[in-house]
Amino acid sequence: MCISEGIRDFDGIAEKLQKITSRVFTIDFHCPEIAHGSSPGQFVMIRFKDRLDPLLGRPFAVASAKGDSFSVWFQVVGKMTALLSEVSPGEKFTVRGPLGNGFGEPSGDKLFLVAGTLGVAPLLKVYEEFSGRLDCEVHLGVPDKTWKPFTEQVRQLIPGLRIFSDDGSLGVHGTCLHGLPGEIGQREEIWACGPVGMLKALAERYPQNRSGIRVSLEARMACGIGGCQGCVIETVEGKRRVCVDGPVFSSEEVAWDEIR
Amino acid sequence: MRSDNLLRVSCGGVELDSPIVVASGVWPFEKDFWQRDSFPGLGGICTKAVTLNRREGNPGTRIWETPAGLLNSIGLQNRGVEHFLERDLPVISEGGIPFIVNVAMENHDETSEVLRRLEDMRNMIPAVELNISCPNVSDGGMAWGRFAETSAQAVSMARKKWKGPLWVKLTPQAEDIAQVARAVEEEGADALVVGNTWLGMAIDIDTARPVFERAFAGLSGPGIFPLALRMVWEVCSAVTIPVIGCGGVTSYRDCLAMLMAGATAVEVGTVMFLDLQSGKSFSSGLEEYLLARGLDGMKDIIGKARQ
Repeated sequence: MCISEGIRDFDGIAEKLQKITSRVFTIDFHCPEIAHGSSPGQFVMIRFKDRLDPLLGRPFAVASAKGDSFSVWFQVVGKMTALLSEVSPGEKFTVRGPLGNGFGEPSGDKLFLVAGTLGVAPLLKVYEEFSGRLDCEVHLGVPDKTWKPFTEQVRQLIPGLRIFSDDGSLGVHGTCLHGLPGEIGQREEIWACGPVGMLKALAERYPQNRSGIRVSLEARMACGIGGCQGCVIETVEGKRRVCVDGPVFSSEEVAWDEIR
Repeated sequence: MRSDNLLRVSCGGVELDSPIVVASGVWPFEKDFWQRDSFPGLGGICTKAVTLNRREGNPGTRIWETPAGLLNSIGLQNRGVEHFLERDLPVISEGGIPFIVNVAMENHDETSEVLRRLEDMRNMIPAVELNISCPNVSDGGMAWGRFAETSAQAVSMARKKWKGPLWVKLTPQAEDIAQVARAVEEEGADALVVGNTWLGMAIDIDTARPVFERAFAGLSGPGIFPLALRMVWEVCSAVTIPVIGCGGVTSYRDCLAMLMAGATAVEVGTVMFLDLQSGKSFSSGLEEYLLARGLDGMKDIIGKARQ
């Protein structure tokens, strides 16, 4: 496969900023090439056009696409996301993409989609793509009830959403792994995205079924095209690049013991 | 008569259609990134560093953004010269963009062997860039380029093994950059790349630990441009061979400044992370500048600020 097929730096225009909680936002970008050209689990590098600080693009999962626009979901964690949380409609961006391998095609007929907080973003697009033709059961974990507006927003897109909270103040008490079955069936898969500790716990929970688990990983990256090698993770085949060899890996590929 | 190769330069034994060259460490080996038609305006591309054996690179955090800058500590991750010759060289040769094979200086014997193997394929390799300046490894790397004597030893060895065009990439951490540049020129280098990243560091205040496992890392990006420009000026005063300006170039204006300081060509690294078509936009900017002033070619720009 040509990894760079279709990858370019496109113009993107912020259309709509939506505040979900004090720290969680979504932005719709007008960018036909990405809206029509990306598949579930792929991502984009977004940067302010003509600004040198922040310098690099930041990776965001394509959470959904409608018409000529796509949306990203994010939590404010640093300088870039703080600036994005104050973006004005019409502001110009560079959007590099579509990047990464994406989740690919399901191999069975049931998907458990498992998300830790903002890890739900790429899974929204998975749900958008596959829920019409196979059984998608979505589990979302959050810390506590302060995340209620966020879970409500997700529920609007995924009516059957199952919610779990660490302190039990929202949905079921427990992590998003809590409601998963004891074993994964032959025709079932788990696709997950969230903090690395959660993904590791998932791998540990199903030591015999890791080939049935696909995880979307996150890493600091500079280029998104496999050049800088800043985003490598440890796998059973040595270091691999999250940006082009991933971001989606089979759980059995990842050397979980070496991941921090 | 003006032609469409207004930007053509001859640089250290390599004919470049434009003075814009992608710096080492930036460009992946995947085929699509080496097609001339896909990246107009690029004069050449330096490969990621090649070493004798496969290197895994550094553990832990590898990149960290600073205001208008980028710290990196990749550590020369690559699959070794054999893999390069068998798998990468055939791919990058086909694309039509001149390339320069970056060879990271490890120790005398290992690098000597790398260059011997490249020499066997010399008809396929336009030039070698000897990297005596990587700040992110413990064995070799920048240690060679810090002093005139060790720089000369490295280049002397390289010159014996590799008979084609030889560019040498210097380090801004050199004790005396002019002295290093002169020593490298005397040993037969065809061009000097000035220079690699600037040694910096970052501390994670949440963990109260250095961000990078090796504590120090290499700083690039627009923030370092004035430092790099000054160093290019100094080196151009010291040598007669072509100099390739490298460090923080982010616009065609920066390219012009490097050229006016005396550089024959410019290497661009971090900016390629921001815009894959920087070659095209910078070349267009240069061309428009020349045309608007009725200049005939790069010779009218190179070193102009020194006259």
